Amino acid sequence: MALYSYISIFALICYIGLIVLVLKRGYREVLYRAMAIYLAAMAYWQLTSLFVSISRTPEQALFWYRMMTIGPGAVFIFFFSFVSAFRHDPRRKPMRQIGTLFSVYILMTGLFAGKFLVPGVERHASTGLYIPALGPLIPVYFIISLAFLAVAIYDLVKDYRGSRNEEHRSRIRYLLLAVLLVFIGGAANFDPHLRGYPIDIVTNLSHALLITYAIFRHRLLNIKLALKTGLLYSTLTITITALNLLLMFFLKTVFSEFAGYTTFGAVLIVAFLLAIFFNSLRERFQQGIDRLFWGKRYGYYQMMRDFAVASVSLISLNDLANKVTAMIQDTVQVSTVALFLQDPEQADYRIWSMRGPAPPDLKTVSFSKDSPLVRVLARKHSLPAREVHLLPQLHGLWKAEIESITVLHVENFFSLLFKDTLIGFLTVSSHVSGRPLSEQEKELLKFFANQVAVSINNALSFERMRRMSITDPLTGVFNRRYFNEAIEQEKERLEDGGSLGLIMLDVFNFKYYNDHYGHPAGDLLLKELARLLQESVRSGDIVVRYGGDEFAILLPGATLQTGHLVAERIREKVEQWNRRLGLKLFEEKLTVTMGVYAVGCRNLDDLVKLADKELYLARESEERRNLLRSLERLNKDRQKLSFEMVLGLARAVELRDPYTRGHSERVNRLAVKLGRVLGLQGPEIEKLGYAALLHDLGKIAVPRSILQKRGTLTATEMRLVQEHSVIGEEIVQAINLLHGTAPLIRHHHERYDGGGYPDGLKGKAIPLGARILAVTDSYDAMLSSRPYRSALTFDEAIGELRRHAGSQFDPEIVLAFTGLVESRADRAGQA
Amino acid sequence: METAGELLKQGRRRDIWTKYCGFLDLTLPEVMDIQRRLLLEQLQLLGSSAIGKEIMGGKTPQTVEEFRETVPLTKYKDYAHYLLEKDESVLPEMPYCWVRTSGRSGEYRFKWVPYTYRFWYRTGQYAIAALLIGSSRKKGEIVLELGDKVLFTLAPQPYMSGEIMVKAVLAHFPFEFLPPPEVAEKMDFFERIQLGLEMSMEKDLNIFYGLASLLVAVGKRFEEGTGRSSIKPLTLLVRPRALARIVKGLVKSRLQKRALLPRDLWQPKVMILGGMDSAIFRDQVEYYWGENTMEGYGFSEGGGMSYETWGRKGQAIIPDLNFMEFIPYKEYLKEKEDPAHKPRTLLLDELKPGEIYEVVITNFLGGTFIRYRVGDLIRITAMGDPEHNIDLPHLEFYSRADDVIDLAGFTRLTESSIWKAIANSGVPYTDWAARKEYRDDRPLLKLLLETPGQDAAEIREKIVQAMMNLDSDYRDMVEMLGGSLLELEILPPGAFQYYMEEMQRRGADLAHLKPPRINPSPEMIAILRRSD
Repeated sequence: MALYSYISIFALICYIGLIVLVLKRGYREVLYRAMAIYLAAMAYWQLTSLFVSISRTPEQALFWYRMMTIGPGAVFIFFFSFVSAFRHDPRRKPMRQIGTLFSVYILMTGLFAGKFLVPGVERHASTGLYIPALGPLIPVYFIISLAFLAVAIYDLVKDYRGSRNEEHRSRIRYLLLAVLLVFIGGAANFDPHLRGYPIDIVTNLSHALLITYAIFRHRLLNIKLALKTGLLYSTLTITITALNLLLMFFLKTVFSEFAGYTTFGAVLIVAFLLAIFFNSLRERFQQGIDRLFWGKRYGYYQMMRDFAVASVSLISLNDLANKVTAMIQDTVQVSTVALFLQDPEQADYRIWSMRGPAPPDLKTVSFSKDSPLVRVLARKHSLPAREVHLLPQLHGLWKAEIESITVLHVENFFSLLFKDTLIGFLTVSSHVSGRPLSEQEKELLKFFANQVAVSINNALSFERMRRMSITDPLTGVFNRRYFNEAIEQEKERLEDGGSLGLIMLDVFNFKYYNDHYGHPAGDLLLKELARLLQESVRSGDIVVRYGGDEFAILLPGATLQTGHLVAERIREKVEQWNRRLGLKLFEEKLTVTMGVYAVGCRNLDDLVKLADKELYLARESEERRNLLRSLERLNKDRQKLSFEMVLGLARAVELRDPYTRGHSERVNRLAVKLGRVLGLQGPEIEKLGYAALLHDLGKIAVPRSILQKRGTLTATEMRLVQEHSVIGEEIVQAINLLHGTAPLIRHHHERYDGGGYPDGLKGKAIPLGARILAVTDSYDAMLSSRPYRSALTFDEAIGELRRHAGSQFDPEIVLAFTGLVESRADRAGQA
Repeated sequence: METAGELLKQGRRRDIWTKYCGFLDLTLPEVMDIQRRLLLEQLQLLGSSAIGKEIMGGKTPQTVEEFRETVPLTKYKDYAHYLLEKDESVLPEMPYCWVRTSGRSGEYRFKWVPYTYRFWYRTGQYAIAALLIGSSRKKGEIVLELGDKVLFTLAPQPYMSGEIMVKAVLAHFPFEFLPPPEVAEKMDFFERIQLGLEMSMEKDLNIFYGLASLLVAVGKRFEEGTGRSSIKPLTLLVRPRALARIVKGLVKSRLQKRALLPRDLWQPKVMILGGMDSAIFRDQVEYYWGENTMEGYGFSEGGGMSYETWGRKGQAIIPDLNFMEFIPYKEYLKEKEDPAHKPRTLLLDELKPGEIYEVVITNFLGGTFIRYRVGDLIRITAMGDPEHNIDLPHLEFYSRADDVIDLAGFTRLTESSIWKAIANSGVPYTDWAARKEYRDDRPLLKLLLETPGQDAAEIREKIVQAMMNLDSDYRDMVEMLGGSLLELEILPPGAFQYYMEEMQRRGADLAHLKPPRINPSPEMIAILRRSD
């Protein structure tokens, strides 16, 4: 069999394989059906060509030539049908039907009037093949077929011009190239010199392979790139082929008698030998071509190199970000480029640097870390913007997010991934000219983004370390160090005028949370509060954990009025939190007290002091409010006076002095037990119990500074403290159900010898309940630490009581009390 | 945004599938994430609108949990004072169009529902998705072509079907409607169908969506030999394509030795069946028209809800048009007994296959309805279709919530189950209605049937038998109580036609020309009886 026969068989196998593939891909879809028909026409052409090549007699050759001449015409017509299916153009349907009828007509002509197609055959001198003579109908058929081809080309070119989609344009380029190949193959048959060679078969096979590739690969490489590289690479192949032919010629000349040297097997052996010989050259040759080809894109490499150099010296994140956007815009010549990085404070991705026309509300352009776009980018290196409207995973995008993409004219996203973590992304628009990015440019930007990610990550690490040094680890807000830095910075700013606001804030009664719910719960409360504060402040305000449960909020540019507005917002947020979550975590509401102040440049140094003073005042008034609330509650439910309600009132008082926390409850327990020992019963015991809880109620009027003073009290301070028993009496007198406790509260600081206050009563003139309270109150106070002394031991306290029996305390009561507590201590010791 | 039509022109078939049908590839956690995110966006919009503030009590929930805890369930009456007046100033986003829908007869003459552009566009997107899925045999296959012919059988604008299934669909894909919408809108229903079928003789018929009963009626006319009566043989001479179609169809039917059927003339790529009768008539539709049928479920207040997929395991739920909550049937019943009871709801990932739920929706994309009780009961058929790699819950329509007839606590009858029984009984009928009534404190099903048959006892027996075959609970009830609790009343011939004419005289809305099949009011029944 001749070489051409092998080519035909090979082509036929290819076509059959392609037809199967196409039908398997989607036989119900018009496009694939049209493709299959077109390939079938090609296969028919190859089959008849094969029969021509193996014909032994002129009659056989004539018959198959007549059959074969139908092929080119039908192929052009079915190519047209395929193009119109590819374009989904229903207007071409009538022309498609005419074409099909025309193909049938040609077939009939071939079968029944073949002499008009191929009148005869003659043997080719050099190849020995039969060569057909062309009949008068052939040019006519060819021209009609060409008309179909011309329409197909016209449609494709029109689509190409109208499309801005690079992939679609790429596919059209493939189709046009394929058409060119068919045309060359068909035209070659008209040249008597070329007619003897299977040029049409080779070009048609290439054509079919090319189209199939274009169809199956929806995301094609840039055709220009593929062609250029392909052509350059094929230079080597051409060289090898030329050498092959030379060698063949040499063999033919030298061994003219050598039988079968033109056989396929011989060619293969020669080609194999040459391939081995030139294989070592191939790699170096390709490298040279690559250098030549990519050299045109030297600018890109320059960009990479410049960035690599710059990123070593740039530690500042802002500088680095600006460098990246500038390099991309200058080198790739795109109209807009923006670099989004994760904001360490809000965890959102926001624009860190941008080149090109900026949208008016640039600051609002951001993507939260739970945005679907961020999640998709975390899994991909790049994303064409048009996929935003395609991918179902992005259906959760908000309208504002989609608008952000639109205002930035994004054509492509490039992820900045470092160890599978998305640290940011680049948005890149089309070229300044409006031309979309080429595949090559996209690939380069993807590669560049990887480099950028590494450098940005280094800068971020540096930034993070700096931030850690100024951040409170528990709450994540700034610490006091940063507060001082910020004040210094503000000083400079205030020199040009303006003002600075400060809110000092603390958790009312924070120690209570720690004591009752434990320190982890206290920490949780502080974290939640820090979060609420950050949500409440304006962007640019600085939230600081000042120490313990105290927070400071610096409000640059704020007046006192603005400060109050922010404080009000905080109050609302805290209220909302209480309603929504607070009471699920704690039985008590979260209450914050705030002091707000604002200053100009001159008295900046006093700002903290002044705001702190405001906080102090707020705290005082909150304490009073707290007490009033308890009193109101008591008055409201007059009929339902309960131990818990009175206890609540007592606790409200104790909040002012951490040293007396729980004191009232303990005195209550001791007094009730002692009262029972001394024979009190029923209402008397109840009255004693309530009085014990409320005996220090009047301390609400004593300033906290005095209550917590470490040193000796002045005479005035002492007088203020002593007034608490009278004030307490006055408060309980206002509550009907607590009337009976008033004398006990008033006299619980009287001394047995008459040296006490407020009335200097003596001995049994002091109400029994008040005498009991005097003993139990002193005993519990001695066992507790005070600002001015540490706690006494049990034995020391009992000793003190006994020492002052008869002078300060009623001796009978001291006797009864010591008996009571000692027996309990014994029992506890025995146990 | 590139539409399916544009993408197809560019040969981007994979992109078409991703954009329109990609939701089938979402995992349930991804769906829940989309639900959460779009709800949070919607809450922001609602929080700044008058209608949202009114319903949410002036507070904007910040989380899904808070939303479900604090916002009450609503019905149309909560919106009626604004929406019936088409007051756009109170809405969360400016509407693109207003869609009209019929309330249950007697409740409202009709209801107005605002559609934002985003909501309208995405509802149209899912209508295209339904056509793509219904016409394909596997994921990714696209057989729709530009200019495919659609038989116009739906109510025109401003009904949802006209607004979405015609206008929004056309915004995505250039189909050719037969007859064209501008012509169809001026015609009455029967004229429209007649002209559409005539045109499709010449042009072809690729797509149908509408009522299954209509396709069956057309199929029956063909079978009885009356289907071609409207085509004048002489006119075929000047309509060669119609002639060729008929010749081809006749050859096909003669070869199979049966009457000419629609499927001999047309091979629709997809027939989307909506409405209560889909399940009942589906087999007949496939006999007359071919097998490419699919079911869909939607409602005006929420656009599309679900579409059937290849596995026929029910309809896959659309994840991004509405935030979906479901009231378990037990909760629904508890509320019926005690109206003060606040039913709890479940989310998509908490549903259980086989259970019945009432649907509650909150529109996304700037829509208006918040925790809105649609009034429909659905049954979850599966939590996914592993065979086709679909992770979305699947449902089937069960009944209108108010249309469940509970018979002595034994069984629950729905419009669908009664209709199936009548159809399976073989009793010829024009139409029917049913109502729960009491005789001597005993509940029973009163069935009003327009039938040419006269022997009421025999007809009743056939229907009871069919119901027993369909519903084992009903069978148990008959056996235990020794009675069928079915009372049959044969309506005079033309009763339903008379009802329709009477309603037309009274100026009723298109959707109220027929009485509801379940629990029609005594006044409606009186009109049906008056027909003789």
